[in-house]
Amino acid sequence: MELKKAKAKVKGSAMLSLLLLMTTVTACTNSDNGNASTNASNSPSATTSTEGSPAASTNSVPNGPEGKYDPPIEVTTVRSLNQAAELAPGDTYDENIWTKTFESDLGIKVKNTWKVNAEQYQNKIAVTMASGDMPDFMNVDAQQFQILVQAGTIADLTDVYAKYASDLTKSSFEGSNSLRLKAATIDGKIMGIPADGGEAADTQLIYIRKDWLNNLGLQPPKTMDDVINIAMAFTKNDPDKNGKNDTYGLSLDNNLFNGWSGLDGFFNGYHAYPFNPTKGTGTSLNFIKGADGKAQWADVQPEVKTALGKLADLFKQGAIYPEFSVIDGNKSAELVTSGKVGMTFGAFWVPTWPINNMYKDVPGADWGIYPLVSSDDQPALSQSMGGLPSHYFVVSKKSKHPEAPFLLLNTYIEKIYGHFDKNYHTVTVDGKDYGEFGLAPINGGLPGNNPRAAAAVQAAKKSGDTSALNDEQKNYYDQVAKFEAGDATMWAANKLWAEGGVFSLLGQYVDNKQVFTSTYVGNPTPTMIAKGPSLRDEEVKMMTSIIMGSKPLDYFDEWAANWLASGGQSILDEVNASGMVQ
Amino acid sequence: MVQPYSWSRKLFVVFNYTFLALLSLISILPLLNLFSVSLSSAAAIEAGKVTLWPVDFSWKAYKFVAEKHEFLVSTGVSVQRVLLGVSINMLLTVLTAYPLSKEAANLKFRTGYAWFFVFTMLFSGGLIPSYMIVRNLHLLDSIWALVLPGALPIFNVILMLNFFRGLPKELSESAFIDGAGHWQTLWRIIIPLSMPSIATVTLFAIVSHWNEWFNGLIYMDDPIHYPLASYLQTIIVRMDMSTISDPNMLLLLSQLNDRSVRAAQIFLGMVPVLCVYPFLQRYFMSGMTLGSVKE
Amino acid sequence: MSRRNWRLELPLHLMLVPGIIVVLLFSYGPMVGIVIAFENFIPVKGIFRSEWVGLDHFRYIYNLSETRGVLRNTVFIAFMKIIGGLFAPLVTALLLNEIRKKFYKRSVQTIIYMPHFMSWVIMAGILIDVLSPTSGIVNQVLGWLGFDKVFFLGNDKWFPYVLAITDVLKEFGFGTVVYLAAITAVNPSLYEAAVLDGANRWKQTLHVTIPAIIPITILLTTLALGNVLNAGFDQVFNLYNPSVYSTGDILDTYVYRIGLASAQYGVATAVGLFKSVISLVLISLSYFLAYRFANYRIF
Repeated sequence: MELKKAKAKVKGSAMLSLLLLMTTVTACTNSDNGNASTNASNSPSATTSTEGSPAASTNSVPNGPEGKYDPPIEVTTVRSLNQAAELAPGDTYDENIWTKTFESDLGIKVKNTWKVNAEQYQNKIAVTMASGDMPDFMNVDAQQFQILVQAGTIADLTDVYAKYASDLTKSSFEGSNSLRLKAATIDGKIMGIPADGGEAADTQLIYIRKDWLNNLGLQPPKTMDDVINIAMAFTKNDPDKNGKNDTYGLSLDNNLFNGWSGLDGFFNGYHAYPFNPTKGTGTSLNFIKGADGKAQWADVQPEVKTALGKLADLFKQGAIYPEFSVIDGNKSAELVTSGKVGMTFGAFWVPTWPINNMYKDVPGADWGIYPLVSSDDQPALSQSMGGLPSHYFVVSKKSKHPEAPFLLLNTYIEKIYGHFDKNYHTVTVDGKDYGEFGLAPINGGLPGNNPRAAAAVQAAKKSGDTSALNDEQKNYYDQVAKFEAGDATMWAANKLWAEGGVFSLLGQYVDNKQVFTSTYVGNPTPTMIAKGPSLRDEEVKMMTSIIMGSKPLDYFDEWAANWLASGGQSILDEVNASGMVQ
Repeated sequence: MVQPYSWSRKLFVVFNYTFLALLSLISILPLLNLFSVSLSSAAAIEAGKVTLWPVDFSWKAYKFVAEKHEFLVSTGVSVQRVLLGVSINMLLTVLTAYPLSKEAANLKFRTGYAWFFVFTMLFSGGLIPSYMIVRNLHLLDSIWALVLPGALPIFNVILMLNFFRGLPKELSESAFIDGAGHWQTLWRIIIPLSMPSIATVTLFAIVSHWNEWFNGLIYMDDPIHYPLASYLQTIIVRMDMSTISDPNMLLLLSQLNDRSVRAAQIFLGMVPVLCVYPFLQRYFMSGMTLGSVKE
Repeated sequence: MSRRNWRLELPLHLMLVPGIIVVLLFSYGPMVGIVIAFENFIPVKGIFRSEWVGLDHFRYIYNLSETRGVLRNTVFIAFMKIIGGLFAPLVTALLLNEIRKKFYKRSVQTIIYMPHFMSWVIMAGILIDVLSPTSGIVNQVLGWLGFDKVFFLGNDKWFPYVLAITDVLKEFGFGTVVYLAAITAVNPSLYEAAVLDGANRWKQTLHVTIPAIIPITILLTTLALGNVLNAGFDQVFNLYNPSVYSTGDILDTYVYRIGLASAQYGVATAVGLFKSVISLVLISLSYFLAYRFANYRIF
């Protein structure tokens, strides 16, 4: 939950998200009349714990993925939280179904040394580490992970992983070509537990106002030319039939690249793969392999220029909000939710934000979701950061029980993915749903889980036989059914799991090998770190001014030459010398 | 002594009233917008319909806040902080400003002292060492961490000492002749005469304690100890949602996307400190009368 | 110094003791952290064990091609804000002082003081709407008056002025508080004397009120000069965008953007130290100038 710039993290969370959404409006009406018999008493831990400690009153210590500490041990961690997340009555981050289960089943008491809201988590981590108060385990971002490895303050987990990780936990590390395991392995040692990553979940889709298409008698796009025609029609032909010329064809804001209102998917349609968001670090760049086998930077390729030309034209024709350069994602979201813009490129989560309430609140509004289209006969590849983890759990070298986080993780993965237990995922108190899984002090993910679930839900829909669904999937199935029965609050759920929904399309990208990932898989090079931010600013200025027409399209070439001269060449040299080009 | 107003004076008065009314209008519009948002429905806000009047009027957001545990608890922390912090601030400010208001001839090292204090206004060690000091003094997670590090606001000291210097010297001199010491003079003469300036500085102290949020976030280990400003900061930060691609986070945030509730909390968070000023204005007037009595 | 003087002074020194303790503990204590500016600081290693890099961070910033432009922007924007922040409250306080109707005066005072409490995050959201060329009220008014529309937040010629004006509008009401207090402290007998001399309201303002508040004005200006490199991170950060980096990017926002790539405590501390030194120089200078030419010790 503490992720600020996660690139890929799906998990079962999409479901929680929906539950949260449904509950926003009625939030104030619940009172404590039902007296919540929910989780505390009837948690399944009660049953397992009895068999966990039959008569073993003597000291015991787990010797593998299972087992229990007796006497119990205490491990410390720190938490990043969101004040927005409402907790079920009686739940806290210190005491909840997870901590209780950990204590009763594993004999591990998890103590939060401190809790802070997500924005200050980095600062608080820094002051904690500077004072030498490092907890037993904690969540850090990829960059801190590198620093901690170099500083030599975190434990080598290679042996405890082999011994204590359950098979399911191991498969979560080793699925998708061991992507997560490789990322966590430094110099042959496993140094961290990836919190996310492992699948291309950041690929983009096209979202289009279906009711506007219908109003204008248009078909969903098959090519990029169709996309442009739709954008133009949405701009000029009064798609909302209000008699005013007040609509725009394509959503855009000053971040340029993004899971919402980003141009990533637009560029991909022209086989261009630039990536350098205004608010990004300027160090996560895409590289392609040139004819000579060497890595080249994706952003300076001629295809980028072609796509920029199209965007400049769209802007000139009024299809892009004229002030896109000053608005951020929240403002561009407002333009869309207020019915001013009818199309956007975006990631799988767009149905959950910001367009989640439109179906319910705006009469007639509905969104279609379409895979990326291409400008020619070659299929469009959707770009992805490749599923590298953005966050890791690391274990202090001083920790007496470096194996404990794995035991916690085993339980987490078991309850959420192995034998899905709804009590650990969501609880309902007085008709209001609360997420439980976010309270777990550790988390992980099973790559490919969501596309699998979507496929299962759809198969069950077709056959009418739900017996093959696990509890998690049954939940999604029910949500789709509710939507079909007229429950408008389930719109976003339907868009996630139903046929033609985001997870189906994401799965198709993977199955059809329509995913582009950078050919360079290493960490940011020294020049990227030193020059990246200023080069990013230059690129963003170049793109913004070309789109807005304040610079001619050919300025692109000047900028590209400039990039090479002011640090780009050394970046390319470093990348090609790194041995990390695949 | 009522003078007949000249026409230019009349013109000025009309202009003056109009101009100030205009300034007030500009100043109150943002607040009005916030207030309207807090009284409107989420759908109306998302559709961009709310500017200066509530749309789909409802008190829902305020009812929600009234039951919101975190909001109430952190308000309590803030009140405690202001009471404790401002008392300490004022005590130390007056105690420090009074000696510094003396001439260098009457206080050895006066200039040295002054620069010693002013220097801390300009240089700071930054977050990490400050945190370590607070930690080593075992103040973490306690109200004292919010009160002690800023116990002596230097800016206020400088203001105060300048106000003190503006008082007629004959007053304290005559007090000395009557045998009063510095403590008595400060307590009996200087402070009563300085009510307008003390009110001003108190206002600054209240405002800064009420608004300060960063220390709350860093020094408290548990959000339940956050002062209101820190709590509000956690909901106010208009994170660019679009840069977050963690659906977990996103959904938690979009739940909060009920912007009327957010606006209601921000608005309520401002009310106490907005009320303080009109209240303190009384002392500005009383200062005037006190001044006129003595001549 | 004679023993008698010492006895007389002792209470004054004693009064300073608590303040000195607080400042030593919570201000001078943490100043060891300034060494971070000369280190490749890594939190886990701590302040004393991080690698010493000397002036590298200063060199790094100095050599960045944007630094000069950014410094120029910072000083320009901060300077406008200092000037505006000096005159707007001063004039407002004088105007308020001319208001006879107590209720009106108090209401205005209270209302103009409110925007200070709005955070820039919220103000920015409002300003983007208000200043929009397509739908903003400001441009509509300009249109009625026959002017061309202005893209205030997207045009780098206008942007610095927008920053200065909006900052002054947000803060001037709060700034009047001090001036009003100073005006209140003016000895009423001075006005009475002026009236006896036949001075009208304007003359009274000119010859009594203004001279009386000159010291506080000098004081506030001097202290504001210390902020010449603080052009207001929160405001700029929430309002700027790539189109106006060229004129709107200030030291703090620039360092923030550079630092996104790597949590650079060293660079941030180095910039902070640089700002502190400049502030110290400016404040010292104005302190001695005020003393030399006006025989007035600011503090």
